[in-house]
Amino acid sequence: MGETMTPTLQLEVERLIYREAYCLDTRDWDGWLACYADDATYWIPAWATETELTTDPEVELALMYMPDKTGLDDRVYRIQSRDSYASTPMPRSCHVVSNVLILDGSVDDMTVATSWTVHLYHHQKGARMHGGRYEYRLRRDEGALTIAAKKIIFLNDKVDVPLDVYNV
Amino acid sequence: MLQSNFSALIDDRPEKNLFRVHRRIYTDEDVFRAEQELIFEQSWTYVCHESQIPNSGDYYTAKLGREPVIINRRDDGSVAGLLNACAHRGALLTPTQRGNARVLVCRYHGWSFAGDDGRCLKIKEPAGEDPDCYTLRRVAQVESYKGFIFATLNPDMPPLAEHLGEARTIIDMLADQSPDGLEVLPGVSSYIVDGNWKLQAENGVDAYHVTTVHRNFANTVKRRDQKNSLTGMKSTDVGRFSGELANGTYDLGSGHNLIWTKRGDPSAAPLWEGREQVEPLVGPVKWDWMCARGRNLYLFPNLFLMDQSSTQIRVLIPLSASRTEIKVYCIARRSESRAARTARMSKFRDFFLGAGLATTDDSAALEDTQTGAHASAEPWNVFQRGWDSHIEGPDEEAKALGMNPVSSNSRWDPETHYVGQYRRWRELMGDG
Repeated sequence: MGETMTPTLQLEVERLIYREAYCLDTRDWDGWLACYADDATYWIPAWATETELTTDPEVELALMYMPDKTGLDDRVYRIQSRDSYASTPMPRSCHVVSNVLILDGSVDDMTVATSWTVHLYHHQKGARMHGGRYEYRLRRDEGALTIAAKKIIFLNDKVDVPLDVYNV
Repeated sequence: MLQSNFSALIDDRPEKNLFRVHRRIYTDEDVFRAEQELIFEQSWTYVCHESQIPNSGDYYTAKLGREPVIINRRDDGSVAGLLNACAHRGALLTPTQRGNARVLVCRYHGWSFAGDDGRCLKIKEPAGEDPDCYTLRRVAQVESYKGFIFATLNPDMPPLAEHLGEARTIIDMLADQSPDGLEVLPGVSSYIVDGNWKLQAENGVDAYHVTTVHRNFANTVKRRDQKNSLTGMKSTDVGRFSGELANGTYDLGSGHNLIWTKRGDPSAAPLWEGREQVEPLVGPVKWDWMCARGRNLYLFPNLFLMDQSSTQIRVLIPLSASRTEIKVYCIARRSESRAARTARMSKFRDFFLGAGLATTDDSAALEDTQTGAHASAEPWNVFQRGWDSHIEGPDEEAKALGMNPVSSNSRWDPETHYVGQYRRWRELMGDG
């Protein structure tokens, strides 16, 4: 990666990752979905023990696992229907993404690690803080970087607010 | 509050088909403390599944009421329990949810104990203490029914089989789905509901909310199935959400109860692939219940066994009058194909998790109910629906199973089964 890692690439990666967070926090669902490739996977593994995550999302427990983008579309449909008890009124959220580190790969297909926190305000319960790491696989499709896979390491594990795509 | 007053919180007048519970049972911390002492520290409560502690020395930790315990597998293969508190100064002997330890070493002063029988094996730098005086206290009774492990701190509680009673017929419908048994799959999800544990106990066998609270889930999943042409076990049978398929309710005694509904399409069940193997072993009547019906079984006080779109163990852990931790696990046939397990897991995530498309909506509704329970000018929650379809004793379906419930109902959305739940609550809370 050393040879291809340039400040320009770093900026391009950060722009995509920050745009995703911005779209989530501003409820720009079309913009959010546009960050993802059609075959993108989205995965929040459950914890198997205090220190180990589950490793196979298909046959072990995951808090969320969408094997392709249609699962993300389900989430948007649910929120936009305004018919989900837990999502109405929507809690407020603010993502802060940092420590963006390109780990491996090429300028066209790479893995990226970041840290994240979400400041969440739930109307009945008040403020909550969620945090963890994102592990992305980014791929260049027709010139532009898109998210081909996102794995969310969610530290809090046991929470008293509904978990959804806008607060992880 | 005096114990003798708790029964006044249940207004039970069967001659008028009237049943109401006072909203203080959800909000009053005195009631909560009495429940911990008189229900959770006395009754049989569910702890874990045998597949979670398969080997000698494997343990699983839990609380019975307020009391921390270790449930473990002994060298002879049996399951037993010890109080999770050092016999010396009371520190937890293990802080983790599960592990393996033939010897439990206290992390505070270094005393060690045999996991098998609780004997004190070694006292660090002894100063005259006699290890024989420091044997860990055992949990009074630990028993497994077909892999599901329950425990009680009360040595005088009747045996587990008696406590489960008629509910065993329903447990069997899950436990007997595979000749080589069931296993809890890796990974646990916990979430917290700002609501009393009894609201969760009610909601898991409340079909009446399904067409409102889960209308959104049904629409989301139906849209996905149609868009992606999902069929068979990849599809989610949402027909039963309409309440238009045959359904019903049983009060199974001892506070346990069941709601069930026919599946629109039994082949959507991951169990379907096992039909040639399992049906001949259990016969057509039981097979129909196992595969062609969804079942929510509540086992008083802290367990749900759900077998609907997927299969779930749901454990209720009361934290305070207004706060409850819920732990959920997916349980599956050991021998199932990867395709069936993938489908089972997918449908589990869809519905059952604190990050799912349905359970989150339940939790939000329960939290509103908890807040509303403080509206004291109208202090009673009324359980009024379904008396016209209520039958004392077994209906024809129960008779065909050889099951003898306290009462039956030919609908899945009545409120008649809560009577048994709350009569058991009242009995344990001290009205004899």
